[in-house]
Amino acid sequence: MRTSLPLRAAAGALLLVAVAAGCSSKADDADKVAVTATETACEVATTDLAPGSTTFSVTNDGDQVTEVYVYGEGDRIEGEVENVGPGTSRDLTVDLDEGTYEVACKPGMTGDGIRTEITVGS
Amino acid sequence: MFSNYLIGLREGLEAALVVGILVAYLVKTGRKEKLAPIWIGVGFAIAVSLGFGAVLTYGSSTLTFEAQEAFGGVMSILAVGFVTWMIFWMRRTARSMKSELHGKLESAIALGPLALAVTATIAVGREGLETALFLWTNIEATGQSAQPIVGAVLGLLTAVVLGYLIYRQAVAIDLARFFTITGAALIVVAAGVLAYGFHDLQEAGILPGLTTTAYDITSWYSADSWYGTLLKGVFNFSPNPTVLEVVVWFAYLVPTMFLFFRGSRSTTPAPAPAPAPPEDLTAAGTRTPVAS
Repeated sequence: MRTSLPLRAAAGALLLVAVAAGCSSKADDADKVAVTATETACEVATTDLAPGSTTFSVTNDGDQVTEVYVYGEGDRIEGEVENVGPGTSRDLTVDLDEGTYEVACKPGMTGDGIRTEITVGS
Repeated sequence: MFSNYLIGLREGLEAALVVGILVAYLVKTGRKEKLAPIWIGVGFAIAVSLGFGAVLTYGSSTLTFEAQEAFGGVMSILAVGFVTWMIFWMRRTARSMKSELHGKLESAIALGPLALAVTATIAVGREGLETALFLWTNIEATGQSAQPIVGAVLGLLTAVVLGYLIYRQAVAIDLARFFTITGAALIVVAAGVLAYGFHDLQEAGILPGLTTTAYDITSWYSADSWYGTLLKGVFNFSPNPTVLEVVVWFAYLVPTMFLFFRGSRSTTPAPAPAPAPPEDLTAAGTRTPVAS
C-alpha cells in the first residue's frame, strides 16, 4: 500500500492542529477546586465559582472506581473524568458560563451519581 | 488494587485480541517477515499515548472535553475501518490460498507493511490516551500508595497474556476454522468499537441523543465486576447504551457478517458500511492485484 508522502504529512498536520485547537490551560494548584469522591458523597470544596475556566482536582477516597461529571442544563456534559481508581487523583478542567451546574460523582461508574450543585456567577 | 487491575485488564484486552489475531494470521500464512511493522505500530502507539498522557498529566495544558471525546470517537471509527479491511483482506487471502495445491502459499496479494503498522497502531492507540492518562494518574499516586499502579500494570500484563493465549490457540487450529472464527470475532469486536465511537461523539455533542437510552440493566449488572470488565473489554458491552449505539451496532454487524459468510464463489465483496472504505488501501499500491 502506497499512500503518497504529502498526503500522510497533511493528515498528520491536520491531526496536530485539531489537537492543538482542543488544548486549554489548567489552573495553578492553588486555584484548583478539590472534589472528594467517596462511596456516599461528592464533596466540592467551593460551590460558588467564577465564570471561565475552573480546574477541579478530583480525589477518589472510596474503594470503587469512580467517574466525575460536570453537568449543565438538561444533563449536558460540560466535562468528565473516567477511570479514577481508588486512591488516585485526576484533574478535570471545564469552561463554565454563568449558571447552575451539578458535579456528579459516580462510584462504580454507573447511575446518575451523587450530585452536588455549584453556582457559577459574577 | 483490584479495581485498578480490572481497568488495566479492560483497556488492554481489545488491543491484545486484535494484535494477537493479526500476528497469528501472519504466522499461519508464513509471512513472519511482516511481523516487524506490527510491533513497530504497537510500540509507536504506546510511546505516543504515554508521551501525550504525561504532557497532559504533568503539564499545564489539558484537552477540552469536546476535543477528547471527538478524538476518541474519530479514532474508534478509524479503527473499525481498518479492522474491517483487515477482516476482508484475510478472507480474500484465504480464498486464494485454498486454491493453491500442496499448501504452497504464494499469494499474489502483497500487503504493504504500512497498512499492517497502521492497523496495529490504531488498535492499540484507540484507547491509548485514556489508558495512558489512567496510568500516569496511578503513577502520580505512588506518593501515597503503589497499589494503584501495581494493580493497573498487572491488569495490562494479564491482557497481554490473554492475547498471547488467543494467539497460541488461533495458530493451533486449522486454517479454514481460523479464518471463520477470528473473522467473526473481529466483526463482533468492531461492532462494539463503532457503537462506542458513536457514543463518544454523542458525549461531545457532535451527535444528538446522548440521553435517549435504549435499555438500562445497571440495577443488577455491575460494570466494574470481573464479568463487566471482560464484556466491556472485548465487546464494548454497555449496560445502558443509547439508542444510536444499539442501532449502529446492528447496522454494522448484520451486513458485515452477511458479507463475510456469503458463499465462497462470490466476487470480492465491498467492505461493510464503515465510514472509511478500506478497499483503496489494497488497490492503491499492491504489486499484483488479485482478481478474486
